[in-house]
Amino acid sequence: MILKPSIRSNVFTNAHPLGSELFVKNQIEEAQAQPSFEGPRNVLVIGGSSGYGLASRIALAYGAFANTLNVSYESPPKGKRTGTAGWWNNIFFQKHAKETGNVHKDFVGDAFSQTMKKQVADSIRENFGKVDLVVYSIAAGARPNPKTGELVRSSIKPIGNKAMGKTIDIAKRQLKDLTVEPADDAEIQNTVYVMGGSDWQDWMDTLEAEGVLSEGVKTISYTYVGGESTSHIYRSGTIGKAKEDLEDKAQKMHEKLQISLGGEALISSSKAVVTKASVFIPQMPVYVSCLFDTMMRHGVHETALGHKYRLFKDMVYGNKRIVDDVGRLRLDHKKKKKK
Amino acid sequence: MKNITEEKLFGLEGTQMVLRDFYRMNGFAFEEIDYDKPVDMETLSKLKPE
Repeated sequence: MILKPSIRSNVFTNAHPLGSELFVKNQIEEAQAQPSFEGPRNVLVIGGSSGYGLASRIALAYGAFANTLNVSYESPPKGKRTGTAGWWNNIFFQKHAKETGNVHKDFVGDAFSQTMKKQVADSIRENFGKVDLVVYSIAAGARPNPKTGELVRSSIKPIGNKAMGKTIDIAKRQLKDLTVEPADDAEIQNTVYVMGGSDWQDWMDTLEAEGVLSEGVKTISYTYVGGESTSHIYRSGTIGKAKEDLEDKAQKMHEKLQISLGGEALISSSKAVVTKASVFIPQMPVYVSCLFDTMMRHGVHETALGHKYRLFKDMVYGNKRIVDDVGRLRLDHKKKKKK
Repeated sequence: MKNITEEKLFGLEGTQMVLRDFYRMNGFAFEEIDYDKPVDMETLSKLKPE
């Protein structure tokens, strides 16, 4: 099968397995070139097949020589379909990570379900005993509501007024106009349900009840604060509401974990990154392009791997934490620096 | 930034990097790979995550 990029409505509909292997391998090599650090022994990554979740997994597996268990929702190849990029990332992470001599496991399925949570808890007990770090990095378009049987969908929309701007047409490599109408109340609530912190909290409650969290366990999820140019559609929009909920749940979990296990729940604010969803956010691709350009010119551009490596080495397990007034670890401070 | 022209935007190294990142996330735009060469999906399909 000859595989060329297939892009429909600004979404890739295929992936090249050998390219995905390089995608993973390049990040592994980047992690290997960094000094190692004292970190967690056993890590659970929820959403570790791509983006910041995968970068976190690689940084921890190679930087701290941790065992990893990853839960992700990906599709294998079938007929003419190539399988999702995340499917291949998992396969090739496993292939290469054998060289670490540690244990790396993958669960492919619905991370939102209680059945998956229970299966993962059993696997932790069997393979590691307990985990000392849980990374929650899910980007999902939908989450089933087990009470109603309904599939709840998230949306990236502004609140109040419509958002207008440009986006990049990936296939044509051109700019195009993008207008997004404001969300109604149901859409706001649904986005909070899918992308907020309630499932993260369910995970931590289940793992704690199952007795598979270590004394001093840490858990972390990622947020995005951004600046003025993206505020209307992002931080003040539906996704912003979900992130507020995520941050709020982190605070609640943190208070609970401190008492029960002397642990902590953390939120880290990342810099803007290229994600599948970013082309559906008016003006975001233009902002990210200009940001990358400026950061490159100032020699402070960081890859996803470099970003997460620094998070774990310097902030989560190091003594260089930069914390803002609401308790978030600020990994995005480099972009705020003026030169 | 709001009024940047298309020509200027695509002339930026940052924009080229963003585009490259999009393609690479899906296994494309790697110079090391010959994309005209067929991929042995049959063998690759046998690989399963452990």
